[in-house]
Amino acid sequence: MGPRVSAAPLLTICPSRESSQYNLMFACKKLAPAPVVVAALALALSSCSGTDERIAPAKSEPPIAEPEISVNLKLTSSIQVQDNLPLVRFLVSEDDERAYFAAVNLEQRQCAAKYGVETTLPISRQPSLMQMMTQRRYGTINIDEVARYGYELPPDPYVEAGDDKTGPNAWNPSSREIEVLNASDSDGESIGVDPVTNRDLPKGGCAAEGYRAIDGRDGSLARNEVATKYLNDAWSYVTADSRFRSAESKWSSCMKKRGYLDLKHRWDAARNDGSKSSSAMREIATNDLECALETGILDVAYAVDSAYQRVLIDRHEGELQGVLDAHREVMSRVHETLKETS
Amino acid sequence: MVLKKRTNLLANWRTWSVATIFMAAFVVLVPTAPAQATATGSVTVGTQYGSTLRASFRTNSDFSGYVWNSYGSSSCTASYDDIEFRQNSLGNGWSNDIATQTDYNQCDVEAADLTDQISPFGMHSCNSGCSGDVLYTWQAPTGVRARNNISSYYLT
Repeated sequence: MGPRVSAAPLLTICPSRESSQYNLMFACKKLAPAPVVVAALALALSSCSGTDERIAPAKSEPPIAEPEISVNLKLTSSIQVQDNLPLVRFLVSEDDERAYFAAVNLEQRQCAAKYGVETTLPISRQPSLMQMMTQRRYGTINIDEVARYGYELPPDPYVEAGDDKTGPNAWNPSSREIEVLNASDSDGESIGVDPVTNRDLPKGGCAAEGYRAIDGRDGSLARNEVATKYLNDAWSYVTADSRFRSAESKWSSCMKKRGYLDLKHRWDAARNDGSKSSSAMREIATNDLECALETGILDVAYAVDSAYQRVLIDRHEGELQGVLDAHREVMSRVHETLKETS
Repeated sequence: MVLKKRTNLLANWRTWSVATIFMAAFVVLVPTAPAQATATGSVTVGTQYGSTLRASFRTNSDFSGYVWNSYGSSSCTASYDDIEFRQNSLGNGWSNDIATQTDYNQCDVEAADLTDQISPFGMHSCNSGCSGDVLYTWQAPTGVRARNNISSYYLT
């Protein structure tokens, strides 16, 4: 995220705090006239309060020296990112995720049936974590998509078919269904015992129980915290990397030539205070992507990102291998459930 | 003697300079406007019950950057009256740092501002399905970093 105040001239000082502190101390030692020192201090401090904190690498990870770039991929589609980014192989495929939600739904239905309830709960439809983590990782990539939708996400028929509150797919459960699926009464209060069968209800109801039946102790495929954490860490390293920052400068100059001033990051271009129409935003998005392709920032981002991810994979090999083992366990339960009920 | 007096005067001048600097720093570090952080990482909530994705927020208007995912155990119902989940505050610097909102699995988002006194936006409804709403940014008066002051949300 870009800085919120116009502190651009001082941004180069503030992230590197040692150097700015040293300079201020040096100024104190020389004892410049007090008003000058006060003004400099006030300016530096007020500007630093507007700097971007997320450019620093993740706190949980020790620093990584800028790794050598060893890939050279010309990006023209977000699918390339999904197919090639090193950490993505620790996320499950879209097909596995869909099978997972189908199995969870079956477990939820079977649980409800134990209480004499035939539920109409639909199968969850959502973008895969793989898609969510890669589609716009470096901003827009697909030129056709941008020409049509600007910065907005293109429609996803599979996902949107499950998101209709008023159409044929809408879920209108009875109060009895809610009682068993959510373990809550008509006032939304939690209940531990089913008032009809007098049997204990699982914590969170049958909806939660369906997930527990499939996830076991292995965690969910659909929210793989380990791989997503390292993907986030990698992004923090990328934004602090000198090669990426240099590419950002080139992109910024390209945008300036096209009349878009004071843009430091690609995502700055997409901000709208409500004064720009959707066609104006499409035009900005097109210029943004053309500059990205012209300056090669997408390819640099991908190459730098891949390099950091390889370092993170080496560093956390055991943990990530454990993720793959857990995936296998979960998927074996998924296939078992689907097989039993087919 | 004269030299010692000059040294004392100089020392006093130095003392006053340092004191002035610290006083100025105190004034700068205690701003009148509330400090507003930026998001420092991705966040997931509601995962204790399941992995049905209900809403997703992004820090950047082009859908890049960090993501806040809100999960639950099932789809939301067709009713707009059922509050399925409520997040009263956003941590990790996310308050006032949401740029987009998207809802899934029949859930609708109602995102609320920090305070209507300083924001012109009020509630940000995402009804009848949001496949990715870009929220307007708002440039606050001098010195205050602001986007749209979203600091809580609930799902129906």
